[in-house]
Amino acid sequence: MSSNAAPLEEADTHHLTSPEGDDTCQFLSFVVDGRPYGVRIQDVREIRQWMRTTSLPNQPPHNLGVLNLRGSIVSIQDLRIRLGAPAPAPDDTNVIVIVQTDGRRVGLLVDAVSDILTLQRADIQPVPPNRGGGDERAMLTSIIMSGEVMVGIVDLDRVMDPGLSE
Amino acid sequence: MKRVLAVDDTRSMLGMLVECLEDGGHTVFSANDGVEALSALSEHRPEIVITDLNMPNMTGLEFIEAARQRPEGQLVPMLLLTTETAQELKDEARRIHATGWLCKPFDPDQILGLVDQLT
Amino acid sequence: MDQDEDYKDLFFTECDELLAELQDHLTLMSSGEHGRDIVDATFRAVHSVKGGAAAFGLDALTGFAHRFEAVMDACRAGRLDVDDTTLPILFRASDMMQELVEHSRSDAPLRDDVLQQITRSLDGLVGMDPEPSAVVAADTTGQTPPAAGGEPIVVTFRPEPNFLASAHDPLRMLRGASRIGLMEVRVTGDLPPLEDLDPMVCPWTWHLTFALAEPSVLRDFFSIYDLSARIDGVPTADAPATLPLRTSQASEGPRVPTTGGGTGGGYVKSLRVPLDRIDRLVNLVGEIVITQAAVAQVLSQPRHGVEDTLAHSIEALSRQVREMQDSVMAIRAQPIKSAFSRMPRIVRDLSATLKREVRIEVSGEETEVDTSVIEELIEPLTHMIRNAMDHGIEPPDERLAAGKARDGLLRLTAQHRGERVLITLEDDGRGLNRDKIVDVALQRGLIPSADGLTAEDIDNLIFLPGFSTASEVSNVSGRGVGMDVVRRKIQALGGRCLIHSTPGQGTRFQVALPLTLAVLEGMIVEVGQERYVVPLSTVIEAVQLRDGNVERLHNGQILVARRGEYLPVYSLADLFGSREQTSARGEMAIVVDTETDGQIALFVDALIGQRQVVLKGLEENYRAIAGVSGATILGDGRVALILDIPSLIERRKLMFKHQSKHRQETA
Repeated sequence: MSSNAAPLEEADTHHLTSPEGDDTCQFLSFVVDGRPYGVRIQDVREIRQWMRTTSLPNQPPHNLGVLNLRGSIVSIQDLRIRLGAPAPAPDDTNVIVIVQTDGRRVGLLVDAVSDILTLQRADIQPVPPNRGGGDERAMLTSIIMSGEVMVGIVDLDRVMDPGLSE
Repeated sequence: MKRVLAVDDTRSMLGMLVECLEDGGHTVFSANDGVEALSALSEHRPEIVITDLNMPNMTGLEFIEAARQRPEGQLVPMLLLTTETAQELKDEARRIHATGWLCKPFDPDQILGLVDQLT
Repeated sequence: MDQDEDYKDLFFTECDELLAELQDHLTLMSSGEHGRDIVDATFRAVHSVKGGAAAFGLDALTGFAHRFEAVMDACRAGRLDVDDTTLPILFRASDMMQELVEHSRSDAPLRDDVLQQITRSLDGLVGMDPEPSAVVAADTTGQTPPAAGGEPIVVTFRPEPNFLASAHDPLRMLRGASRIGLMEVRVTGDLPPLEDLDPMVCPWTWHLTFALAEPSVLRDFFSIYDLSARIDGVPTADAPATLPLRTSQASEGPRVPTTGGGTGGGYVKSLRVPLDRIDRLVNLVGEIVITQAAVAQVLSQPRHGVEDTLAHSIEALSRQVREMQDSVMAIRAQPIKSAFSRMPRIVRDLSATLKREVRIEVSGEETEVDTSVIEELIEPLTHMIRNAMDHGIEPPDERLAAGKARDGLLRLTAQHRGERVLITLEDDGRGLNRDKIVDVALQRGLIPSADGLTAEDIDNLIFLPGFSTASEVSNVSGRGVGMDVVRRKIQALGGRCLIHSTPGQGTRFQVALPLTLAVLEGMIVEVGQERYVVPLSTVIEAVQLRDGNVERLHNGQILVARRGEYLPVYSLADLFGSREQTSARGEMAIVVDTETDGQIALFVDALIGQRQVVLKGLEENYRAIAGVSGATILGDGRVALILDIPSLIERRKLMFKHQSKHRQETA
């Protein structure tokens, strides 16, 4: 009966998100201005090439406008600006990572997508305080070490927050 | 597998009842009030009837009373499924030869058990 | 579980309908109709809510509906009169039931004290003791104490004379009993002499011995024979049992509000649709599939002379698609009644609060509008009524002195007018006090002077933001909102507000709304590289800008002459407040009616055409943006913004005000 099905499904999705048990997690890593960053793989919906957007009035510079994503309208954020990197006009080489949290969908403009990283939970570290101030730290939830390389994990809640309305 | 007539004027109730019975492998006919139920009784010849009490046009009690006058309704178990608990109503149900009195909310297993038990 | 949730959603939809019916019936009763039909129908509405609520384990709702039902039952039986004492309580109970439904559905706040109070009023009407729980308890039979583990249980089963006539069968009973642990059967009783033998009466008593039977299983098994047999020996439940479907909630106290399954806020809305509308849609889809097959076939044939056939099929296809769109929209159409039916109630309540005597006449309730419009309409409509009763209709004495009937009249109507629905609220009150309006507007700095204002201009001042303030209005119209809120709401729905007042005779508010919010008739324009949609209803015409009809003032303002009148011309860059020049060559403009600020012109580069566009919100994934009422997806897949020109102008004015204030301060 249907009532038996629910817990099973739950177990299944759990299994999918962490294939090697509870202690690992996966990240999609990408490049912004030569540095690697990442987001949790379960937040990623799809990846697509840059295409021209429809710009919105009265938006902060990191809002690149909206796109039609199979019938729903999705706003595109320039992650390069959010992370404090230089942001030349996007072109065909740029990539949009579509992420979804809390039922909301947003596209993040990055330079290129690089890899899927599987890590032990223990490898995730907090972001050290940034004494200079600066925006970058505020946009990251944590950092991870992938081999020799440090990857900053993007705080999607912050990035997706459209900010005050006026 | 039995032929069951389910009667209720509330769609959600009727839906749940029908689904419960169908899950139990029965063939279910449904009606939205007593009048519809009477014609369904003649048309489909169910082996058991489960009906709501308070319905527009013809109540569950009126329906059972009328059904018992008909040859096709005399030997069919007819259960009232209701939230009513008033003794007068139960006495009336007894008088008109309702088969049984069931309280809402119903337990699907109990309903399926009763269909087996009574047919 | 999921299916249960589906049924629960369905139940809540039914509750909405039942509660609306309940309101209707109560309103009828309050107008003096006490017919048996109406009282019965009222009882049934309450009863159905109770039944559903019990099935879904919504204890608070069940308990309340039970009390309410008891009162309606008393009315039905003639034990209680439906009069001025009972009716207000019934109305309040109906509201409370609504609140409980909302509470169960989406965890909306519940006023516990009010609930208690109304419950007491209801109980008071029928002299009921405030007993703790109204949840229906399972019928149990017999008085024997619970069996100690494993001991055999002997049940005495004595059919009554109606046993066989009630379609019971002793053999079936025994067969069933053997499946739940029946060990031994003993039969007692005498067969009566042949001449007294009634074949429909079962003269025996069975003594049934069960081993290892669960008491609850026995109870379930035997309770169904309750109506036509005397049964002794079945163990009673240890605790007063409620039926076991939702035991988790049944164990809590009677006044614990339930959130109904714990899914929290989100629930799926559903709609009741006449079957023929769905059938029509299904037929259309069928036709489209056939036409599509025909097109495919034509294309697969050798290509000579297929154009005609193809053109024919494509034409058919576009007609069918158009019809399908209409049909899909028709599915969402509902009579405006569900919004209107609440209004008599509001009038009644306000009459008491405001010491007015007011009748309301409602007509055109069958007018169909998209369901989304109906939902959005209730709030502005309520506010309009409040306003009319508070400021329009005079107290009875004043009316009599003015030679009017003692009770005021509100007339609420709805009618279709082309692609819009026109809602009119008329009162026969004192009309707008124009002198006072001008005073207030001057005093609040909303207008520089009253010079040159027509009567109509003055009436429209009441729609200005800041015209009414909390300190000025009574607590009824009040809560600090004025007619500006009504107008903003109506405009947000793509509608417009009109007001017409005759001093001493009354005021008429008219609201024209689009029939649907899902589709919009739009003018597509090109500005720079982008395309935008302007709601067609606001576009008056397009004008070519030539040296002859354009004036460029030194302060940068551009005016265009149109039939002897100068209109301000704005560029989209102006309105968006963006630094980059999004527009355009300055050769063409469209004239748009903003209602609030009269007509303005907007530079565009090209008119692409009129089209029905499907409205999509920006809020879903981003947020609402001032001046943009939504977006749509064009044929080429690009997103086009739908411009809300009145609010863009409003914004621009605010910005200017702010800047000039800033300049004054810095100077």
